[in-house]
Amino acid sequence: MAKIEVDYLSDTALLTPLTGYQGLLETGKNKTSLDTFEAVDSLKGAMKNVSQRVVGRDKLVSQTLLALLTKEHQLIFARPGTAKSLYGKTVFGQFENAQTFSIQLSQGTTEEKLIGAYDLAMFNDGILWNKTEGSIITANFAFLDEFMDANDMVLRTLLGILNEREFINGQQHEKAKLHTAIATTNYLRVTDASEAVLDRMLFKARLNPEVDIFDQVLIDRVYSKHNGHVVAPDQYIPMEVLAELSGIVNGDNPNRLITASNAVLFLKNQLIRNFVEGVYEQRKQKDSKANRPYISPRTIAKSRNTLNASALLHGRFEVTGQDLSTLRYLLTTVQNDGGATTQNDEDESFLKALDDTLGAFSGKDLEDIEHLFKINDFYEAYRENRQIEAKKRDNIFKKPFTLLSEILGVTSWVEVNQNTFSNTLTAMNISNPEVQKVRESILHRIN
Amino acid sequence: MAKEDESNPYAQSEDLTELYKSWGIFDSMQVALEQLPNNYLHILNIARNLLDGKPIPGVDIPENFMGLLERDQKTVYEKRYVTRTWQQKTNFPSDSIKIRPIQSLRELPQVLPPYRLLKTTNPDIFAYKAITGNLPIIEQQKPRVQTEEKSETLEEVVPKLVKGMSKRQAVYALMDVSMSMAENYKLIVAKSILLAYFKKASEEDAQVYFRAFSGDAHGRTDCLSPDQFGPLARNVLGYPLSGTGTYIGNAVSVAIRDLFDMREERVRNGLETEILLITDCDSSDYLPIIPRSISLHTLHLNGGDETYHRNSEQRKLLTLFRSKSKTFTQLNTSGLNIPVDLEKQMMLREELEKLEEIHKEMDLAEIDKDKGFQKRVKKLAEMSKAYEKMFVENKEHKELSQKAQALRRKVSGEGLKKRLMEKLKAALSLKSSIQKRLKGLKLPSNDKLSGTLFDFRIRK
Repeated sequence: MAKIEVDYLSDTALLTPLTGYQGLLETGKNKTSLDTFEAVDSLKGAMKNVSQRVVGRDKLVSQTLLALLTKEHQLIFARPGTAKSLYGKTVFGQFENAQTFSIQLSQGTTEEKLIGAYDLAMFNDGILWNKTEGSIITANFAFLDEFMDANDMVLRTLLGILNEREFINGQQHEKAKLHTAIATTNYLRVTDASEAVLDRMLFKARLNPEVDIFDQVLIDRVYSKHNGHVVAPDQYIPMEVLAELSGIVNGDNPNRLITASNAVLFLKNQLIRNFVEGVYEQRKQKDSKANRPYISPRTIAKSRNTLNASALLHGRFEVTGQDLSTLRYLLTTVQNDGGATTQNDEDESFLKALDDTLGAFSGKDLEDIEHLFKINDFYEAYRENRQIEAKKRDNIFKKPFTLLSEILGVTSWVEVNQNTFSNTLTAMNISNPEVQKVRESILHRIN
Repeated sequence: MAKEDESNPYAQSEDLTELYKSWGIFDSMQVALEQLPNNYLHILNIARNLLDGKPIPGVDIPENFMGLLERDQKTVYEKRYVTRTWQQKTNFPSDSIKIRPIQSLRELPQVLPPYRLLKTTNPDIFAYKAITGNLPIIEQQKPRVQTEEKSETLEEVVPKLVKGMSKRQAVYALMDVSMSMAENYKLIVAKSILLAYFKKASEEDAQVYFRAFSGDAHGRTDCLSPDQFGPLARNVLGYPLSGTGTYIGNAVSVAIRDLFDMREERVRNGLETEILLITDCDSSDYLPIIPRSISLHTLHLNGGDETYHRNSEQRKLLTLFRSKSKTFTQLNTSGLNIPVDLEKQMMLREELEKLEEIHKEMDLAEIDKDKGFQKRVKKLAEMSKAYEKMFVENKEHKELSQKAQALRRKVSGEGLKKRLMEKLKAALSLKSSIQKRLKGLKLPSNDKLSGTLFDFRIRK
């Protein structure tokens, strides 16, 4: 089937099927193994199901898809009545053999509600052991309603499980099966514990109660059909399929690595910097005492996985410049706009930062970046005592003589020393100041 | 009617400009019109008329008393910017209860109910958890208060101080809020006069102090700079009647003590300070000795009922009030009657017609750009709403206000539409720029180096 042209900036870019194929439904039934891109399309099909049940939330669904693929968590700010519980149940309801742990948190919720009660028999033998069966530790998915209402003790317990995916309590040490959690809250409470947990929620969204007139009719139609209940999908996605795909995205599958050039990673970091500055400027215009937005090194590091997910969703094993646009789901708090024409401030800052970043570097600059990192890789290998050779490039007149010498068995490759690297770097003609900074950093390391 | 600007038939009439200026007392309230109850507007309306030297309909105010309220004839207006800074305190009630681990066995009664059950079902676990600090307890906390410094700069049109204009340094007013003030519009008149008096004093940069009293003197409200007039005026407007009995002597003593405490040196040096006492003189005590440096102006609101003061005790009291007051003014408030102001209605209607005409001839871009026009529409909508609220029964005011609101909505809606269109255009152009850049973006292959001084390889 013909490949569908994707508008990378549209809200449905990540949900567009790769080949017009509508999911696992027709071809996947009797297959013992799935082709990677068939699996991607089946996952997109599942998300399309969600999108049809929870109307007008394409950006949210796209972000959830990224959270599932990167094995990360999503935090949704939402007011009552915005179908957040329906959303969580519908998303997790797409997967076969998946255990979902759901809880409504409050100040009085205790740790045991999350990790299971003490095993009394073991306690009498002097062993502290929580019966984790049916708790968040053994669940594949978690829906944490009114997340910010939890007290600090509970939030700290959640920290380990959400991030390390481990439960450690004295002798008891269990791997948590948790793949993805969706947490909801209707306000932000800032404490030391909540800030740390918030940072673990890589993806953040806001559900506005306002929807546009067209979507409102669609909601009415869906509601009258299902009366607000969760509807089972025609076909479930096996948990193994999701685990396989997220393994590829997170680089855990050595046979299916997603590659990214140094230049695209450089652009990614420039984009994040420009975005932070843009949002800061925008905030300062409204309040002169506004704080600079904080994007943690963890988020920056994990942004690579988001790029990988984007590449995979677009049917590639290589990250390209187009995937940079997917970072909007990571850097901004996505929200439905209550209409097709409006954009929120963060989204606007992101698009501006993307435009500025792409416009700031020419093809030559990107080539320079690639060379700089390549030289750096050779230098690292040299420092690890690997035998590195270098050959001075000849000018056009000298080239035939060199060729002749090589034919006669006289090699022009010589062993390198520190100067070889610094001379190569210094001789590069770099005009872009940002790229020059990269060269300075590498030179600083070498000298 | 004042002469209009002949060169521009659509210009705002001078009379209307005067009316808006006169309603400056409302602007200095620092509150939205919707938040003001209708009766507050009546009081403000009377107050602004008093400041302009116009009498209260149905209440005869002697000329010498009007001098205390009316703005100086030499008044020149000026525009000034007042920066108001305040601390906004926000309570976070969600933090009022905190769950934390037990720290001391004294906290056992605060253990959460589900864990208290553990004491019965498994005392060993309960004891273990209590000793190891692994029991959650509920702790009541004070609301967390976050204080934020806020400031805003407001534009005010106020009288300019000029030579020859009276200028007092401090004024003090006492308002009787005993239950007897409820009759015969006494409280309405008292509040109107008080507001005019305070406004005039605050425009003179005088320090203003206010206390209400009934059985006791109530808490004092100070207005030490013109930007504090709003809170003071809101306090006066909303002051309720209270208490049993009226002790005027006590209230005046408190005021004198206040003035001595605050302005000791000034009062000792013989500089004049005045106290305005507004009461119906139905007191249970006598006035104290009034120091020479303080002038007491008494406004006796008798509400037309003379029966109060027929007995000898009351007559003696009144004589005492007269003798101790620099001015003693008696007002019969029972005839208060505020008719529908047809003249103002006509002025506002004329303005509406002019603005509608201008609007017809403007396009979207012009409307969005012309801040002066937008301001004029906004002011008219606000003013006609105020008159609608004051005269709720009057159909013409209602109709006028509805038309003005409609025009305002249209103007602001069109401005918004224009801005949205611009935003959409900018967003589309940004998107198309990104799409173009993405299409043109060619990432280099990272296979090998090219064009550098040296080529590198790992020796096989």
